[in-house]
Amino acid sequence: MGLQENDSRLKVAALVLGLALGGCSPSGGHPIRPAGQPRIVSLTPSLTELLFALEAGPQVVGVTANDHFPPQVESLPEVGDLQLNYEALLSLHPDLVIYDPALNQQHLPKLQKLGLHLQPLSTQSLAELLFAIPELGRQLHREPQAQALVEHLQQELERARERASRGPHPRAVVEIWHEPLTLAGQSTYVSELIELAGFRNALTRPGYPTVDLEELLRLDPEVLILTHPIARQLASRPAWKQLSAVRQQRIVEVPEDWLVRPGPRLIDALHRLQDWLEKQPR
Amino acid sequence: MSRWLTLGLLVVAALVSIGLLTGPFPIPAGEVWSILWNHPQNSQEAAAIWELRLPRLLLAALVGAALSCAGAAFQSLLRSPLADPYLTGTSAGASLGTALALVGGAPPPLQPIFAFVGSLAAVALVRRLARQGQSLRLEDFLLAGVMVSTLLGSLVTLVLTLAGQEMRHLVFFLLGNLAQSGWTAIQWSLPPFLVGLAVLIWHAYALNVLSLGEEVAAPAGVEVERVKSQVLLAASLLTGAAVSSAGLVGFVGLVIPHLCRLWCGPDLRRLLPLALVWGAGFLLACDLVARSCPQELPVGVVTALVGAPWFLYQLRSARARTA
Repeated sequence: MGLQENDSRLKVAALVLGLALGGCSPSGGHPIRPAGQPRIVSLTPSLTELLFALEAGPQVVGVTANDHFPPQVESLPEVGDLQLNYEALLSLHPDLVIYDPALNQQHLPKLQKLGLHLQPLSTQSLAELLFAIPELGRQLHREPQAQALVEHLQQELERARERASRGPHPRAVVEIWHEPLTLAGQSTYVSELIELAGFRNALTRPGYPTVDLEELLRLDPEVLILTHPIARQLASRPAWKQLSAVRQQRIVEVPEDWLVRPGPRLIDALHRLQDWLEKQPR
Repeated sequence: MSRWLTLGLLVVAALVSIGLLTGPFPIPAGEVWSILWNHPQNSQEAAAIWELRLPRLLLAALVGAALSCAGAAFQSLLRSPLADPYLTGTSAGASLGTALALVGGAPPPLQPIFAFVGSLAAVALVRRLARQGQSLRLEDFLLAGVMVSTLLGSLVTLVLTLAGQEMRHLVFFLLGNLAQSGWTAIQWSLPPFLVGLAVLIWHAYALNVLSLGEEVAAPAGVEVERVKSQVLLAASLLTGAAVSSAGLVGFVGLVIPHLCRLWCGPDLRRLLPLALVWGAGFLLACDLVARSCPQELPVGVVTALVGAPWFLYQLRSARARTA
């Protein structure tokens, strides 16, 4: 009896050990990078987009699990998401790790101990974004591309301002997440962008608060800006039908990444918002 | 007994070696040993060993040992194989203390203290709720423990929700997680761990006598109340040390002392060393599994996946034996 018990315990122990040993750890060779150019890991999806916009895409050797744009990043090694896998990051031998201090603050103490070359780039407002691009360009010796991108963005922003000055300025809310309902508040990058497009943010609270339906009914925005296709289903629920925006079908959908991730695709967001605005009957 | 202790030490040594040698960053075995000996600076391999693998392994061993010894103490004190830091509310109290410390921005040395105060407050509350006159009924203690745990768990959620978006990552940590382990956590949870352990070893014999019943212990010269409160303090210290550095890791304190008792009997003088070593080994193994998965798991999930079925199986076979 005792022997049998020992036997089964040993089996369990062997199983646990086997699982530990046989566990699947990501490894394997990484593609050859252009010689003499730094290998870059990006810890923030919007910064990944900037890297590709500056034609530094081939140097990117690792991204987060939340990176989906441009499509080639899907095949790159991942270093985690909200939880970083520091050893996977090290195993990519990066020469440069770029991150947004507002989003990666909890990772910093550990990152600093790993002897990595860290480059913080803040992109939490349009001004910061326009400042970060030349900074990144300098780091990568891609000043001409950076300057071209900044000029392009500035032209587009100017055009958008000019377009917005003509039209009405309806009160809108921006859905950032549907469950729980989360909206973009004052002094956020998203709010800055929709105001530039010609909307007024109906939500007076700061940050990205969760909002209950009653508060939404009280705000009664003239326009709903939705960033998730699934949020459209919410709009068909009975309580939502009381909103003026839903009754008058004043709903505009903008892909989340265009609106929420500071980068070149903000132009697409502005176009989508302003095209919609101009089609509205006066 | 010494056979199991030796085997346990071998298992711990094997698991630490595996942990040092494996990981996403491929480092040849020879180089791992030379890095350990020479501690070179400015190399990414050395950073992987000294800043990632080694602190994580040491912390896993420390947390596993702390929880397992705390569990052994609770089980002996309450004379129930079901008592552990989780069920007595101690872990939940420690987790609330840790959440408050982190949200309030307390410096690292204070975090285990917050956790300790939290776990102590939880135990005191549970004891008070469960006490009727002079006697402490076990069922009442466990029920009160579960209720207080639930209450404190929701307070943790409340604290994290009020703290806003930037604190959301703490949810991962409080789920039981060794991914952020570093030397600071080890440095500040080691002293409470050692103090708690020393107190338990000091009182091991008195606890043995106490487990025969207070009516036996008092005439035998055991200062019942003093021993009881000091052991609760020590177990809370151990739990605080564990939770403040690794979050809520369940089932170690329940399963490991139980398992060790099958091997060496209830004598705490033998049980504590075994629980220490096997608790460390168990959490090391669980953490190796957690970090080997393609998407890293919180280690608390692994301990629960292994521990809960094992415990239910034991419960069933114990019932079959008595039937």
